Amino acid sequence: MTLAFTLCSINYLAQARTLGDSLKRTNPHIRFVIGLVDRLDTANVPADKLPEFELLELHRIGIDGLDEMCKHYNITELNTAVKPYFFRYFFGKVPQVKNVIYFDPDIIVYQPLAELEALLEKNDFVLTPHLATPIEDQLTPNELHHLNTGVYNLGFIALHKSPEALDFVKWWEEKLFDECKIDLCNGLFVDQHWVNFAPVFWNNVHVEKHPGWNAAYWNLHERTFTNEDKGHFVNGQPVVFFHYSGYDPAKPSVISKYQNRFTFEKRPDLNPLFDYYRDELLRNHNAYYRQFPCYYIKSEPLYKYQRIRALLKKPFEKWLARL
Amino acid sequence: MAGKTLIFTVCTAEHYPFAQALADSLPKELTFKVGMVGEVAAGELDVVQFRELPFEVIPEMQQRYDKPALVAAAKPFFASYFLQQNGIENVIYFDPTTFTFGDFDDILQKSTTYDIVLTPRLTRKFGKSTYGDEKMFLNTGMYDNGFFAVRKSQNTFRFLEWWQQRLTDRAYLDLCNGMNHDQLWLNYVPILFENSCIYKNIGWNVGLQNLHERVLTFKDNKWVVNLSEPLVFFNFKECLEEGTEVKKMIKDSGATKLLSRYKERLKQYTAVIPPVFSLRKSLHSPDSAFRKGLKDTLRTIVDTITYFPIYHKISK
Repeated sequence: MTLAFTLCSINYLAQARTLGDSLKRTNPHIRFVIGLVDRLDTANVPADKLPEFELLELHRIGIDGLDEMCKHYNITELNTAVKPYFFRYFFGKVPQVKNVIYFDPDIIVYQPLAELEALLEKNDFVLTPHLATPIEDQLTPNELHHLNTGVYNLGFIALHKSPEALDFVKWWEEKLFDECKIDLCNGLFVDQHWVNFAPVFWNNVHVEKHPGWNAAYWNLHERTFTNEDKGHFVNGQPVVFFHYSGYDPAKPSVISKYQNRFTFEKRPDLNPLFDYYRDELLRNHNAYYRQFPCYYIKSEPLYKYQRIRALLKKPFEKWLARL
Repeated sequence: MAGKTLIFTVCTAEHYPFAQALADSLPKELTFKVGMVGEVAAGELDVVQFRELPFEVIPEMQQRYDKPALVAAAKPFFASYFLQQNGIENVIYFDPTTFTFGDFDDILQKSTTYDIVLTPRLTRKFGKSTYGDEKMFLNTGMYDNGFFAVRKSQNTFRFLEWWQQRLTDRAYLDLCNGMNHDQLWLNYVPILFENSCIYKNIGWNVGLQNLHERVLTFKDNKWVVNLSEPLVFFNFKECLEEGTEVKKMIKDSGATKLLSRYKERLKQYTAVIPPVFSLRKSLHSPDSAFRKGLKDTLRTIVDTITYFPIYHKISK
């Protein structure tokens, strides 16, 4: 049995529902679970706004020290840090589960995942790289960025239940308990950078370079899209899943807030994929969900007199920099 | 097969004695060249100068980089130059601080089977050791720049050209911006280039960064790693640093004798062993207790000013 899951707080439920709808259309045999990094009881989401998909709240999977974990993470960090804990829960608690696939909530699956399931028969890990071919310019993001944040994109990872994969999950959990941060100078970029170790420490890792897998803003330079009667294609092959990272339906002219290489004017081939996504998000009440704050994230106090503070700090910081 | 293989290293004149020791350890029937950056040292080895290679970007690189960066950035230029020579099919790079032990067959076999052969800097998870912790490898590189082997092919030339272009202006040591000389770029090799091999043999490229997972023993006149694999080559680069931590790491892995024999050999060529760039050392510059205390105090003052509790509490 194959299980797919995503992780989000209530504010991203429109995305998670869109992903779930797409899986139901293309892969009805795959059980889909939304791992919710939030609490429904305190948020009071009305019944008609609850997704029809299985919801598994974070506090139900049994993480030792969850409170401590929440204390040092922001919403992005926490949503990524709990990934291996959910993997372990599914491998341990769901009978008959053979494969577990993680998708970021902002992904749409357009095709059956038969090839992925076949790959998982022979491999314990399936990953997708950010890039399959070099980028020659130095716009954002370029090759250097992925060297700092991880060469594989962790919006997608699929594991086959095996001793190797379980060993990896355990190690990943330990890392992410307190080192799922963005601290590039010290080699940290949430859950993603750690996975550079997967092919080094473990075997049976498959890296899939099919242009239709995890297509996203970081690899548009090597992928051209067409929309045909039979669906969306990329470089002549079917789009299997597209990752709409950094896209906001409230700003429909921006491909992603994290990139500056392409615009829709330069890349009209992207319009059909994004028009569809925007409609789906709006249909799934994106604006409604966005207003929910995450239960686990305490809002930080806003400190006053920032300029005076900066002025006072200056001589000490200068001294520090010289040391 | 042997006649078609060329082995090279890259160093400055100061580090020429290392190249001499490396040359001693290589099979005599293989061609060995020393790529020289900067002034040429007087010696018997076959030397090729970086500034004389036929690449337009070399003068600007010489302007741009310090010595360790330039030596690192020069590698793919030399590799490409050697691989283009008539009759050469395979080119193998070793750091000058490498010493090879005996059996070369496996190296030749791998380098004739794959277009690109690299070694991982470590092979097993370890959490934390005296060397550092795992995240230290993440922004310094998964694969080691002390060794690579390339086979003549279009794919290989694409790789070398790609590496050369990047090292022309992005070979600094600037971890916050995704650069660690030539090494961090190698993370892309298995992803962007076909027919590459990440060879995890624990007898290959043994060095300070993986001693925590490798124990060396001398048995039947041979060095063996973890009682299973014969030692094929050892890179002493970071082991040459004086200091109790490094000494302890070497001692714990059983490599003390190996290192002292290597140093004896070096002494044949130089009275004083020259200092070598050590990544670990440059990341963990040992602060004196006073300096450390001063830094901590300053950081505390800055934090106190930043978080002195005069604030609006926002509650939703």
